Amino acid sequence: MHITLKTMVVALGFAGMASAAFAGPVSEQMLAQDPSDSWLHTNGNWAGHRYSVLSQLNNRNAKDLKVAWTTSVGAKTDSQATPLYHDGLIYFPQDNKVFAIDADNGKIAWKYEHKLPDDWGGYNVPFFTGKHRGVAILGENVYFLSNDNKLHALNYKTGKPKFVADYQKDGIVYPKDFAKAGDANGYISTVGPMAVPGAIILPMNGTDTGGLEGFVLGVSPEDGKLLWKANMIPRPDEPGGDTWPAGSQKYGGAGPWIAGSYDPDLKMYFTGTANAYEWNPKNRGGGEMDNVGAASIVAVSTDSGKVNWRYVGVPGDPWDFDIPQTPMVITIDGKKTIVQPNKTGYIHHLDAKTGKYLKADLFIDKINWIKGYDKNGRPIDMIPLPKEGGDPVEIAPALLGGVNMYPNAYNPNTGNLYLAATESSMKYGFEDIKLISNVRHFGAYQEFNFGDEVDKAVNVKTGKEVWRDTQVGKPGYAGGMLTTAGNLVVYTTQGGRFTVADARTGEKLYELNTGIAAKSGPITFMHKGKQLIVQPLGGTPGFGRDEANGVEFGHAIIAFTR
Amino acid sequence: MQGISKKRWGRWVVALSFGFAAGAALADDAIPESNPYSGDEKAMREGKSWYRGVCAACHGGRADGAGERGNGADLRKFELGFKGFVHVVLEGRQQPGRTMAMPAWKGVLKNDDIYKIGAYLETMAIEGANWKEGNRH
Repeated sequence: MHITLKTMVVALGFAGMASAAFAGPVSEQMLAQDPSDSWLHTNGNWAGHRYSVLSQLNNRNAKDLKVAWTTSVGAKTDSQATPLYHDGLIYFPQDNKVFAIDADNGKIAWKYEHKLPDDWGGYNVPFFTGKHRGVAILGENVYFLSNDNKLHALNYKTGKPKFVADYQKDGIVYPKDFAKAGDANGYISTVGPMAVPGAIILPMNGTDTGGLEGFVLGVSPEDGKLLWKANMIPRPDEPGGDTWPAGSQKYGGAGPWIAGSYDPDLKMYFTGTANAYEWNPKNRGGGEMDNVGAASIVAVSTDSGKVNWRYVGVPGDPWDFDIPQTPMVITIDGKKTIVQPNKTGYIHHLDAKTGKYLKADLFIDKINWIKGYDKNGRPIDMIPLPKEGGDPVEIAPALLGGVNMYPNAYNPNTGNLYLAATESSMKYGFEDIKLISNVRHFGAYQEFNFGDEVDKAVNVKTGKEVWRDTQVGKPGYAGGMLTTAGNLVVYTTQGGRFTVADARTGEKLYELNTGIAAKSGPITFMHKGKQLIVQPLGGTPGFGRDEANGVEFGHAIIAFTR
Repeated sequence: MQGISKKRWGRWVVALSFGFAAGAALADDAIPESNPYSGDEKAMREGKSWYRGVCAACHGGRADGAGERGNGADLRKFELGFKGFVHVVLEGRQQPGRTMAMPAWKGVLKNDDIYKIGAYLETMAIEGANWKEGNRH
């Protein structure tokens, strides 16, 4: 109760002074706060909470919500980005463009467009092209990472580029058309940058476009020049370096592909990483070697790029259970704790400073891949691997998760995590690894058994479920979760039902069928004295299967207020 | 099991026009009228391995289109016949207004391997599929 009141007072304070404090260029001090008038990080704050201190909209008046405006950016693929809002404009990346949208009426204030290279292409590349999960803002620049890994610093009022930086000379090449390139391997950026003191953080992932090893780059906010480059996979002389057969690291995957988190006291950036590559583990220890750094949580010093620690959540990951989800930083019993709900079906807790495993709470109903985690954070009794070319094994959850790329939230007042979860299983088997234009293919396949979308609240301390909202017969995930000091949780189902619920009880307070799939998280902010909630929508529901949700491909951005 | 929507039938018609347009420029006579590997156990095993390694990511392990990469066509109901299949694989297939597309595999996959993939997919066919003739429409 004490915390709630205190938070409310802080929230009211922000609401009163915000238009003055949150106009003009974005300072590092603004970036350090929980979101109030502005929404300045993909995940709301550095800690990855997606929690706003605003309470003008709350559980008493949410029933009076109405649509303020709608707009569209004509998306040609899934809309996965969480927008930012600052000083009157909403920033949204889509299809290698950045749109600034007027929060008054949804009109496009400016648009910046980037053209991909002519030889762009390769393994899985059409799947990724045009998707983005966020932008960053600092000073007068909106920072956008295009699919071909170029950093574009755009003036936040005009969209004019201050600089465009390219990291190919630093080894970050883009994937190329199979038919045009002898070597088609490359990195593809879908995750957005993050602004921290002194650096823009750029996660670099090449995992499912051939397996080039993952990095986190720190670059200068002024000109985009590389400051440091942190390798997710340890070098042979680093801790965990001996968990990879010699030579397997180069195409070992482990790319970061979801926005990480940052702690200003520890000065560490925390990121989850993708699976080890190839999916068929025969070239990287056959599942018997841990492949540390892949399917891991990695802490990187933002001063130097030194890796502080790596925790592997799925040793030798043979299942594509990468754990790329945002590692939230939450203080629990006085200890800064990394809390990461992930594909494995568990919520992992680690000591933020050391990476020491603390516990893992199960949050899904159906699981068979392990029987739990032991006190050292290692899986207990993992299911035996299928034989290459033999019968697949039935495994739960599927590589869909658990939770997947759709962001979760944490509310310090309720103590609850809000999870965009799903139930699923799969038959999973290994095949020969095909090599085309030097690109190693997965060497694995799956047959999914889709379960229900289950949106739920889980108490972070106890790991116990508090409430759930099951979309019966409808596979997929909510687009992402938002929670507020107004005791609200906001999400849109994969089938397009915009939902505002009581954060403590899950009681639905407002619903609107938008008719469009949600694949991104909503945000909230203050604009001209009114609290708005903005939800981007777009794409095809489920994994391309639109029948269950009865929703076709579409796109919109909708703003709500009262 | 998931049924195929009218939209997807439509997509295959679009795919067909792309396929035949491309066929004019392709050495069409190099592609046999029917699949030389139909029913060939060894070829089907090889085709399965190619399918699972290269195609299943989008089209799913069951070939029902439910792949992790999404939006793959339901190949169990493929209806364009053998030559139509080869054309689509070689030339790729765009969806107007959409980014996600079937990539073109010409110059990447050998025709022989495409035939073997086809021979495997024939074994997954369900009612309404056509792996023999050209387009029936």
